[in-house]
Amino acid sequence: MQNAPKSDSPPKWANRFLEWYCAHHLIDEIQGDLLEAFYYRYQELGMRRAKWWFIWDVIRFFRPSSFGKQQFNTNSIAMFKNYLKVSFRNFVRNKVYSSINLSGLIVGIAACLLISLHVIEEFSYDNFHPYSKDTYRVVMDMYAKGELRTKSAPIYAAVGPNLAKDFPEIVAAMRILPFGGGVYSVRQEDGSQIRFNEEKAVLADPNFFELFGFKLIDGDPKNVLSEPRQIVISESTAKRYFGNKNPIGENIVWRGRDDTKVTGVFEDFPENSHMQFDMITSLKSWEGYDEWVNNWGWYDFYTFIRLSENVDINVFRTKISQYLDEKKAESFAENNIRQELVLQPIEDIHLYSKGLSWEMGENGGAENVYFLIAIAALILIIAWVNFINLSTARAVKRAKEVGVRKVVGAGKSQLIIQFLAEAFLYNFVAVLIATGIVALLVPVINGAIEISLERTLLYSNLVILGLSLLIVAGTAISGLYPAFVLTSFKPITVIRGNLYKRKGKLGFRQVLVVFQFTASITLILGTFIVVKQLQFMRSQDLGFSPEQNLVVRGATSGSGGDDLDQRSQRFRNELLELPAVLNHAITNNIPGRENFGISGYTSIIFPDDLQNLYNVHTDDNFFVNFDIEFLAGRNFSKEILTDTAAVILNESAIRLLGFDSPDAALAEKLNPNTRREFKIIGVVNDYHQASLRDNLDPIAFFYHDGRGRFNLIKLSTNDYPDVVRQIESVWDKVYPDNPFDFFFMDEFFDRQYKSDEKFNSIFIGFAGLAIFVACIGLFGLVSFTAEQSKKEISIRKVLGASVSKVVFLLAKDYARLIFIAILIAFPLAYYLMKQWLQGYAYQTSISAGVFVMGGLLISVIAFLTVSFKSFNVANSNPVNSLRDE
Amino acid sequence: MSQNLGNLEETVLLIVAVMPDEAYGYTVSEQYYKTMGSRISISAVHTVLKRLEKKGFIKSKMGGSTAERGGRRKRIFSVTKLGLKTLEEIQENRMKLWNMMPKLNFSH
Repeated sequence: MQNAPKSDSPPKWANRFLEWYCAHHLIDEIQGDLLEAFYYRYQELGMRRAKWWFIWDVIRFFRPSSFGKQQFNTNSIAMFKNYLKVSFRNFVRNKVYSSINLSGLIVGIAACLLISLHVIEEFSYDNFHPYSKDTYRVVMDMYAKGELRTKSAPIYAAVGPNLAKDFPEIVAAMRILPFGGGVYSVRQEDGSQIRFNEEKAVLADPNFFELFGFKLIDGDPKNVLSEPRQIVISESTAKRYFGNKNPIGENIVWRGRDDTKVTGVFEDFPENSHMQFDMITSLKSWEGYDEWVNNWGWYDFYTFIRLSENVDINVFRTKISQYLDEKKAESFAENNIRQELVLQPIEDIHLYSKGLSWEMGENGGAENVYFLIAIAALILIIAWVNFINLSTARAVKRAKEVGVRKVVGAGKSQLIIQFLAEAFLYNFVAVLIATGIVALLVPVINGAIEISLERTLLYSNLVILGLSLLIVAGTAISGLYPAFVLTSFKPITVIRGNLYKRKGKLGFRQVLVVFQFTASITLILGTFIVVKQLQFMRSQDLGFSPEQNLVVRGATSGSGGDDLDQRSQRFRNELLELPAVLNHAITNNIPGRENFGISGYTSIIFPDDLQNLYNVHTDDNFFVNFDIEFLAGRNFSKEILTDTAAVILNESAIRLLGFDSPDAALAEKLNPNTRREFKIIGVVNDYHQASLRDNLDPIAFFYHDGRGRFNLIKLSTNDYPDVVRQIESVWDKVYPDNPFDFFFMDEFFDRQYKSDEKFNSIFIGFAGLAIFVACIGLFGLVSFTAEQSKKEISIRKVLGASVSKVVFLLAKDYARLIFIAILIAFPLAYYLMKQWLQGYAYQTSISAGVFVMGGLLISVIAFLTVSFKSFNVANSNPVNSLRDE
Repeated sequence: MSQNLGNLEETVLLIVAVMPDEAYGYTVSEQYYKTMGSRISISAVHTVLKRLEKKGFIKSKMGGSTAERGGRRKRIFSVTKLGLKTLEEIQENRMKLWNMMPKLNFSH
């Protein structure tokens, strides 16, 4: 807590605290002395140290003698002291059970804290904008034949300005066009150039910095983007291009052609925003800006609006959803389609954008976050259950204490308070230790998996409040039941005889053990399925072979289109002379990269309904490089001039267009009898454009032989460093003005599974923790049972029972519980994992093998846990436990 | 009598004795720092003063207040006859011992 008292007064809260506890007749001398000391120390030692002294003194005075005797019952202090003492002695006497209790709680709370840090971060996305509650992104649901086909994050250029004009509820509207990528360069004083290929570069309307909470370090938020050819860059980008020089007013050349002037520098965007840009160019820099106001056909604009504060959002949602019906009436009627504008709160974008196409970047998923919360809660509950189980199991030993206390005159409420105090102590200590552990662990975890946990959050009010609640809840949950059980014993039975019975019906403790193991087994099965799903996705045939393909980003910096086309041809020719290069293709899109090009097409079967196909502009070598199989027809050919009006479709595309077979599609036309008519010359096998999380895309390939966004180079060798060097030298010869930017196709495609991998490691880690906590609980319980039935076992042994018989006797009870847990967990896990798999287009099977393995695993773990202690007891000499009677 | 007096108590008693009309919690702790070179907290001083008063070596009355004290009054301590006598006794006993110290040790 940050306190800001007046500069020359001691911390207010400490002073208040002093006034609160100090007896009235002592306040003059105590507070007076402390204030006077503060006054002189402030002059002598400075503010900081004077304050610390003051706080320290206030704490030192916090003792019974300052409270004034008449208000304080010293007897209850003494009793509390006694409770603490007894708790401590109990802890020391039963080190094993106590540390099991405590370590279970610590692990549970630490896991909970770690997950909370992650969850708080996930929920904090884009909440730092001013008016973030009133800021929405306008997205679009696209229907065809009355059926929802696509949800698009970007919308038409004209929507933003027109909405602002037509609805007084809208305070501001702003558009972002994500096409700022390419080569940016800065000329140095010595004539050389600094250049980078920028990906996180966009164009935006002038009010970008007014609508969002991103901070401009330099420049006026009102007009940094108001004119054409203005650019605002991030702090780290400014460092890259200009070093320590002031970038304002400097020139940056985009794609070797367009001069832009730096008008502002912004602080690097915080990580908790779905937007991550390095460069923002004014939208007016884009060609033909003035005509967009009425462009209702091109939907690549992320559009944000801010509503005035008192708008009824539901009414406004309805109004806006019908907005396009009028604007695009003609197009809707002609093509039997409909589009609805939908509002998405900006704070929801990160977690609730599932199903939206063409996002700015990868978003998180709310399901995963809820999943983690559930696991955290589960681990914590398992730990509390351990506490309950062990405390009640130990009741026998404590019962004597309780009996004596009752005989001496303790009331029930006093005893309950005692046991609650003990539970409080455990929970409190566990929280303290867990917080320390988490603080130490955070840097390790941040390094190990790609996740950023903020350690400072540990001291945030939210977390401190949460932990306090946790202590209270933990005390109540883990303390109340044992407290009532322990205090309900009748003194006479307790002191006289043995309470303990090993065999019993399914008591509360047994139910709790079943619960713990049901949770553990479900988690184990879940882990298996999660891992299996990732393996399954990786091992599936992709429909193309990414191996040995090197991708080089196409050149964008040049004097114009013709220049780049010619140089592209030269690059290819020189490349093919290299012995290690097998082939070279040009394409505007590669697998693993979301395709922004999509258009509606008709066929002879659906002459009036537009079917959406993704467009890929590429050449004949694309299919060769990727080994994509032709089901019918032929590849493009340079020799056949009419191929510029030809199209190759994939299987999904012809199905969507209504053809029964690949051969049926051949020689038919795409967009028959229109000006944009293409002859279908080939049909290729489907390949996975995206990860197996998503469905196959219907794709139309168009012939394009010039410059392209990507060069796809098939290599004949595995000696990559050498080949890459050769290719780079060719590149530098042909494109001295463009940076050489390359990656490998297989690695690039695999990158899509990064978030799955991250989720996997988190899931496995926490499932492991949960099982661990459950097992140490079981261990504690078994040790206790074994300890209690020592005499029974000894007598059995004396009478001739074998070790294995005794172990079996002890394990039998728990085997029954585990079996019941398995029976409950199997259908539960099956149901939950089925739900989880719904998020994937291609799902692994939930086979019986998984269940068998999971069941076996938990049985083995449980058996080891149980038998470890049982063998110990069964092997001990019966004399030791029988002689003292 | 003197065996009832601890080391710290004796020092504090001395300090009270040398500061007539000015001995209260804060000044005693400051004086202690000035003469002894180490700090003791004000709360410790209060405890010692209270103990000395209980034993009858010092007595106290409420004094005036100042602005630095936030308007709080001082509890001013002064030495009683018993206190003074005890201090003198201690001093005398010590001097006896000092006089018995072999002179040789100091010649170097």
